[in-house]
Amino acid sequence: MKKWLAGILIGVMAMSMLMTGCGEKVPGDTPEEGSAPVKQTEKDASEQVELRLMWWGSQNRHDRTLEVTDKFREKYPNIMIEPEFSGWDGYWEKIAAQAAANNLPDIFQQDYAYLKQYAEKGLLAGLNDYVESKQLDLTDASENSISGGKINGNLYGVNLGTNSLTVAYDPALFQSAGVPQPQPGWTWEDYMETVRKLHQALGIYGDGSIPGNYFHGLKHYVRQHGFTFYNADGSKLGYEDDQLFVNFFKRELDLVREGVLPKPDVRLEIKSVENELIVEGKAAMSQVHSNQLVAMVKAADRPLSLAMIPSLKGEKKPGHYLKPSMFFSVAKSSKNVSEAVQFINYFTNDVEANKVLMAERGVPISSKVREALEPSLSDVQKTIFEYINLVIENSSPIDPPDPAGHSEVDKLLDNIQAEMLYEKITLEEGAEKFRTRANQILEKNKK
Amino acid sequence: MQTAQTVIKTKVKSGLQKATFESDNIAGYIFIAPWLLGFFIFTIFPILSSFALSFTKYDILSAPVFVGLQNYKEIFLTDERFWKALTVTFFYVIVYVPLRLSFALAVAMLFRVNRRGVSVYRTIFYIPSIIGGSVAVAVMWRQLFGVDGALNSILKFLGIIDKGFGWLGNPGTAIWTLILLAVWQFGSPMLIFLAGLKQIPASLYEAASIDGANKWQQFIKVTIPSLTPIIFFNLIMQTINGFMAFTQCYIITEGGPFDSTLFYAVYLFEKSFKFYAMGYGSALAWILLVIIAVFTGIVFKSSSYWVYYESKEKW
Repeated sequence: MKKWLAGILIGVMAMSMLMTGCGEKVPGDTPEEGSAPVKQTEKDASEQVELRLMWWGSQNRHDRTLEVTDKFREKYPNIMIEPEFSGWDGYWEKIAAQAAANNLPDIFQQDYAYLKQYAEKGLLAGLNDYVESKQLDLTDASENSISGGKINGNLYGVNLGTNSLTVAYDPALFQSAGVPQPQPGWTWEDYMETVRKLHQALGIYGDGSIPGNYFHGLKHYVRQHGFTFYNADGSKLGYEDDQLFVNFFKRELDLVREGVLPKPDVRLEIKSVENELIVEGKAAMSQVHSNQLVAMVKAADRPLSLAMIPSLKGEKKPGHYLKPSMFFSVAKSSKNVSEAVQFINYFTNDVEANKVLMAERGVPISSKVREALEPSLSDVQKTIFEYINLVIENSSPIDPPDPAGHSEVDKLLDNIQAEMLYEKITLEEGAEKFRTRANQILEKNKK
Repeated sequence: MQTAQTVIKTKVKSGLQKATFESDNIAGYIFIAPWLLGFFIFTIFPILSSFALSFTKYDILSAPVFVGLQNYKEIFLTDERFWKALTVTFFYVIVYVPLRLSFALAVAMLFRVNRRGVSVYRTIFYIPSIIGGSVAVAVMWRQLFGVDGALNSILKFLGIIDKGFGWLGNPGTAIWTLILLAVWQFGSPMLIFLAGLKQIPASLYEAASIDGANKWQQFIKVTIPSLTPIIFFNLIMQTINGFMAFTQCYIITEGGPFDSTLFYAVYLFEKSFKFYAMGYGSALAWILLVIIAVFTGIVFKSSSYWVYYESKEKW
């Protein structure tokens, strides 16, 4: 009794296994009706190629990018784009796992902080040859906007839009406080005066944080003194004088003590641009990147303006630089690098495609595209375009891409800033601690 | 060797003779095969590889390089954040486990008696444990304790404070909000306590009350001793859970402000996946395993001094 029952069970298991095994083969043998003829004709035209494309972003970006991949498909029916997209959180974990499995997407959105690491590990395809052969046409883009994607002379990332650090401010609040709006070339002293006056007149925070906040702000300040944040080979910090660090955070500490700037506990709760303090009118200024103004204005539902980060009296060079907001990189493991380049070229130069994208990733690098977009720009986008033009005239070349270990250094500075603002350690101790630990981290990652 | 082989041979033979028994086994194995495969591929294999990886420098992007004990050396000798994470995690475990257990026991005592609608209450009080580990609750917690959160609104209304206080952003209070969240999820130890309480024979209480013991004395002298095996079980489960706590901290405070809530598991995750130091992260994971094992071992050893098994004395 038991014997044959067991026999039947095994039989059933085996059957189901066989059936699922067969199931995989079925579609290939007898293609479904409807889809078959389409495939046939495409194969006749030229060889069908499939490209995986991966990016991070907001829902807004997903919608726009998907529409562009459809348009691309119409123009190049032999290339099939397989989109994968998510938010920023978890994106790099996913990319790393796929890199480990040698299964990177053909094209993926790249960040300045990760570009160097991925390029130097030999995971990205160098694109210089394609630029020379004009398959990737960058003739309408300035060298400044391209060079951020180069590592050791070869192009590994194509800039998808330019942005820069900025101070977003609420002109209406400035007016009601009777404080003059910031002008290009305003100094740190002007900033201190402005932010204090705003606080006194309005009783709200003058600003969400010190210009540029802890990392970008310090980097900006270091650059104004003529240094880079990391040294040339990324094994050490690029500045020698800890007094720079102390001076930068001294301003912030003073303002936090006076209540002009919020304490770190208030700032800790801000998780996205949409809930920055300026959005709800709790602060008169806010520190962001220029392309983020779109989301911010949408959340605030009132016009906001952009000002430059304060300049330093007698500065060695402007602290501002044009930052590639993000890139497209092509994986070296891709079997269709040429087709991937074709897509990036389309994404960069096609006017119709960019009318869909509408500078959501930053100001397009192609001057032709910029001109074509100009008439249809919204007010917010005009503000951003004008701001970028202003920065172009007042900027210095970008620092080399962040070295491996940068994300850990960033976290370190974040912690030290909080410790200093809660006055657990002094500014001098913070400066010293930051230097020792950061150099340790960088050196370790260099090995 | 030879003997071993012959043993196997005879076993195989006798196995063939008992065909009925054997084929039953095969069917069983086939039925659990999906689970077994999953267990070997997704649990055993990663565990073993993480052990191997803990002796390498592995940045995920390129092949791992063998470095011997380098990771372990670095963790113990130079990594201040490791010690910080360890301190925070120990503090968390030592505070939240007794709190959660006493809370669970207190509530279980209330639900011990069969009153009308008591099962409804039991369910309601169990709900936090079902949903407590989830991201949604963590997000809710962030709202509750935010500067403009519900707690501050109430305190402002009562006139206790006049300006919003950042419970999560303040190094003195942040860890306590996480502890509170953990204590709030007292449901599963409560249920186990409840089951234990029902096992205590009523005759013991009768005898005690005849001897003139009041309710409190009954609780201390009868309830607690009879419940020690249950307390022991809960203690071990909750301690292990505590060392591995991740979600709440990751969502609510991300270890901040300046690492005052940096749970060990969060640090491990940060190292491995954010800073791309997978070898280092694997070493951290194995250290955690050893710590948990030692801690559990200590609790086990101590049990002979305080855990009372009724059955032992009878036999």
